[in-house]
Amino acid sequence: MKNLIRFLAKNSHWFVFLLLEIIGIILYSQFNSRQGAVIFSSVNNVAGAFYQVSSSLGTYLNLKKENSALHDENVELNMQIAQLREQLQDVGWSADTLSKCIDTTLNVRYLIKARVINNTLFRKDNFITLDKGETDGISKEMGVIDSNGIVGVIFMTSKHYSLVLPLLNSQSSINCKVAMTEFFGALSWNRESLRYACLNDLPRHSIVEKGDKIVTNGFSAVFPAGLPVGEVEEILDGDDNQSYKLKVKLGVDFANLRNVYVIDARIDEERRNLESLVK
Amino acid sequence: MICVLLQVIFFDHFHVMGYGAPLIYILFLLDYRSNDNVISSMLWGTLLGLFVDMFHDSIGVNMMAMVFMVFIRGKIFDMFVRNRKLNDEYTLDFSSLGINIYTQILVIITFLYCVCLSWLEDITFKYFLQFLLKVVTGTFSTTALVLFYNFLRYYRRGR
Repeated sequence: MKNLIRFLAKNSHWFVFLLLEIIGIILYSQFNSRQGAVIFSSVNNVAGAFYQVSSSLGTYLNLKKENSALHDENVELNMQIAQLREQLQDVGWSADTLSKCIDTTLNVRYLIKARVINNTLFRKDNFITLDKGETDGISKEMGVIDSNGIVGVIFMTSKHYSLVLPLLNSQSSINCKVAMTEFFGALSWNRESLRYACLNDLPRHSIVEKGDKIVTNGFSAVFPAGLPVGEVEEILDGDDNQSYKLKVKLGVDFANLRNVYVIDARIDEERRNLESLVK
Repeated sequence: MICVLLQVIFFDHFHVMGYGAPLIYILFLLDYRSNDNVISSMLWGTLLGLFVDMFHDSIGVNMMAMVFMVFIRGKIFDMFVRNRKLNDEYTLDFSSLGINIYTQILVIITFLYCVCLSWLEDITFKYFLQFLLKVVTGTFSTTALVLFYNFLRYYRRGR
């Protein structure tokens, strides 16, 4: 106690200084409207930043609780699945039929998360290197997408890495269609820009407008139908004057690519094998 | 008190190049003895600042600047005086410290006070050139005025 009193007495001028300055700030902000507004706004900014940090901290500290809640939900969902399986088997569905139904009707596809570790942009034939390879279940001719659309196709794999043939490669050609219609063509890159590609060989009688979405048509085993590719920027005459050529603004920004997903379409193995017989 | 009245009646109407005015009441900050009580000086500074603020219709501006300067002035004086190994107890005086040290201390104190005051008045560095001109002209005119006042006093004492 004595020490505390001694400390307070020794530093009393500091406390008086702070007290007087606080009184000054209060008077200053109360009697000077412009300065008061600036102080109010600055205090709001500081308080906002403080709340953001405290909110982030709170979220982080609650992760354990949220994890536990998600775990419980997962257990409950698994139980529901098991119950539904039993009910389907009770009404005469065999385990094989059920499995086939899940594979085909529900069209289950696995996504393997990967990171781009190298990416060339300004070559004629660009390539992307991913940090996942054969040990992660990646094999040749798997499709690669990101949250904005399709990126390319796995071209080569090693144990821990894989090489993607992106849309920005002169050898790339992907079957796409105009969304909500069945008019399709082959999407290729003409090296004009990193953000544009061309959808060639679209029939003359196609109904297409600027701004229409371009999606995959599912004609190849690599990409399922309906994956976004981009949107129509310009409608041009084809090189043969018998078809349309669409200038497509790509959804994927290849200059800003980090996290991608490799589509593990194991269910299409049978189809792929069949199609390879006639190639 | 006389300084404050002189300031509001007379010196506030002299703006060097339309920017800073000489601040004669800064003499309060220079009236310093090494054994002064900081707390009582700060309280006197508060009253003086509030008094000036009342006339300038800017409550809090001069008060905060004055309290801050009273609080740090001891450090500034010590920095100059102790380096020259003078006595522990000294008075900030034109005749005892000599014109060089006195002018150096005066310029620093005036400059810092003008910076505090101008910033509290503008509360932005958006118009930095105007701010700088205000500080420089204020410092220059105040220093000249205080030096002139001290010369007069010194001369009268001498006679």
